[in-house]
Amino acid sequence: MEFLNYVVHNAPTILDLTGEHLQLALMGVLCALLVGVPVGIFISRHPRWVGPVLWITNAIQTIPSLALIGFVMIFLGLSRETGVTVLFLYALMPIIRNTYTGVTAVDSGIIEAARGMGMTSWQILRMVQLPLALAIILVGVRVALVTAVGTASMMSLAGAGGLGELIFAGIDRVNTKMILGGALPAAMLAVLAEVGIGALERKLTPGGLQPTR
Amino acid sequence: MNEIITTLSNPRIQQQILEQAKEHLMISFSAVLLAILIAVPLGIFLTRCERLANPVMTVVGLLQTIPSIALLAFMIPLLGIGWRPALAALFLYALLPILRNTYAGIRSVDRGVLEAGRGMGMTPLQLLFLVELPMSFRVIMNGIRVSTVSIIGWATLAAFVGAGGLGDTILSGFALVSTGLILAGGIPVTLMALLADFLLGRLEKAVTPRGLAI
Amino acid sequence: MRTKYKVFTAAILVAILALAAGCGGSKGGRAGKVVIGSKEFTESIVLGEMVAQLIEENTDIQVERKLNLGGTKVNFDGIRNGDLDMYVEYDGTAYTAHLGHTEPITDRAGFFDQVNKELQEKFGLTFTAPLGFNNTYTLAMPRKLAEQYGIETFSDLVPHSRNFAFVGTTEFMARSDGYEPLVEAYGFTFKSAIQMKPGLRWAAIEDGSVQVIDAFATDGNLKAFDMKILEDDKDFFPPYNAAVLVRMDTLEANSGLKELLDSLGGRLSDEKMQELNYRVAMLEEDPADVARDFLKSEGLIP
Repeated sequence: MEFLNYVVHNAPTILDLTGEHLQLALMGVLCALLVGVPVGIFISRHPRWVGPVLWITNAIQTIPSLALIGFVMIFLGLSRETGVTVLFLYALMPIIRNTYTGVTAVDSGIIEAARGMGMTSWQILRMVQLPLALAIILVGVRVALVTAVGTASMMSLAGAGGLGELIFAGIDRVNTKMILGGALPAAMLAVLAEVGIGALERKLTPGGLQPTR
Repeated sequence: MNEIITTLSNPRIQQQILEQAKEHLMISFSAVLLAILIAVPLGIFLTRCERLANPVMTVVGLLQTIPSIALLAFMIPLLGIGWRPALAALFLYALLPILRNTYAGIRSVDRGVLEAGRGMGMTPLQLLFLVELPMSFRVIMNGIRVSTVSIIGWATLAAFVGAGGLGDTILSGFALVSTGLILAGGIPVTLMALLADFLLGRLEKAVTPRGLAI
Repeated sequence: MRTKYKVFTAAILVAILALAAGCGGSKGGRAGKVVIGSKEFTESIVLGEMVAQLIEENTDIQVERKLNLGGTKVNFDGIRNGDLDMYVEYDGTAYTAHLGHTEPITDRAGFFDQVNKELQEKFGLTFTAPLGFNNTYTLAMPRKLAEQYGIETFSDLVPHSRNFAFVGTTEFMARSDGYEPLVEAYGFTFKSAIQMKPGLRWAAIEDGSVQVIDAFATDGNLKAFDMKILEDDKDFFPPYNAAVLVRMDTLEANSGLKELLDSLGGRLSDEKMQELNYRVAMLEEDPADVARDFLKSEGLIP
């Protein structure tokens, strides 16, 4: 029908925008990992900071996306950087929280044993805590990525491109084909991220820790 | 800095913000209320008819993956512009957290307690209102809280379909490159969301039957 | 051991911030590359496409499109700081929005040149040859409604305005040649006045929730929605002759660019522009296709 014609005619543009969209989400989550994992590890060692850090990241989550885009735009203007920064901020909470939970969930008995074997704190982190926490951290990454892909639709307002360009242009011109042309790929990306990382989680979780079905 | 001050001290803008804040709250609360009215009974129903649980949850979950702005846009051909499409879209968005939490909450009620209730001669309806609901109140409230905070956030998009709300001012700020307007719209809506989160969080703790308080 | 983590985290944060701040290449006035912007409504997008294709098909200059970028101010700020090299602007808009004039216009004939001269002197920007149409702001309402009340001019509308709801674009509601000054000049008393994105105003007209809109004279939707354009009898609005606004350093860096842009001069009449807009807005054709057809028919591209 008409919509299929539209998609075929505009395939290069749609693919371009989808790529841009995915890139935005990935960059945001990547930056959140670079900052969030160390922070998560840090607060697991310094319990005093757990409250404040989690409170701040939770507060960031509560800021409505349009408002956050506006706030970041004040400093970074209309640009890709604005888009990535907003997505980065939103991805922080799942990652920090899950890193913290993952690392602290490792049984203290196991850590005792490792210390008994003569491992340094750094070694314990690297060889015991992180691998076991990986499964939980991955869940955080999954949540972060799926949210990022969803929120990235708004980033075209920040001048960052992505499928939102098509959606908003479609709304402006009351053109359903354009709206669908942007919304469907975005929804598909979200589902893909959800399923894809879900599969990765199952593969990387040591057998003993697999959730029972 | 000057621009911010001139914008924020302009009485017309202040009036506008007040109006929009009201619109924003109205539409957010209506959407959540409607969602509660539908999702809670539906959640209860699904615990009685487990076969339907998965498919229904999946469908409602799918709605969440559609970018919110697109969902809003789809409502326009059906409902025109203004508060109607906005309310419809926000309502659909508010469903999942409440539905999922109602379902999970009721399911998690200890079988033993239910048995005891039945043993005391309670009818299914009495069981529901005197045992299951009170015991899952906290989980359900949690779902309502999550829903409300998200909806207050998404309601900023209602501006796109002509439904007003604080998103209008933020969008004007984008169009006119006005930091003052962005803040004038962005700060109130952020405060609203934070306040809702805090107040409903308190409510959540308050409805936990003392025996279950952690 | 503890400080290790703090330093680690701090280093990461600094790196991220540096990345974010440092991202941004050279801007404006380069040879061999131009960035073209446009406003958020159909006409601006079509014209933006036209300019883009004109340059692409006739030169080796690399063209980057940033169409549907945002409102007037967004585009103007962009061209001033070099994010954009050019976009299509209107002299009337430049007069009030960029040059900040509020005095009424005395010399309509020499208006374009006067505005152009000021833009060159103040901002290092210049218009190339005007495209040929005047897309003036105007008020429009459903034809049947206008006939029912016998409204032909803005002044005719004033006594009836309290029966009507008004919707304008965000920009119109805020501009110094927009809603508020207009209301002051004529004395309108609309029963309500809201703002919406350009395309959505038409949905509002269609479902009858508003009756009067700020229209552009060449808007493609006017015909389709059977709207009547009212006459600005007090000459409140300045002329809005469209032309490509471009950075002077971009013209200097790319020889032949000025002549190429001038070749668009006078090619579009009010009717022609309205027709192109109509094809995109109502027939849902792709702006790029419509622009291409036009350029080909004028022999401006091979």
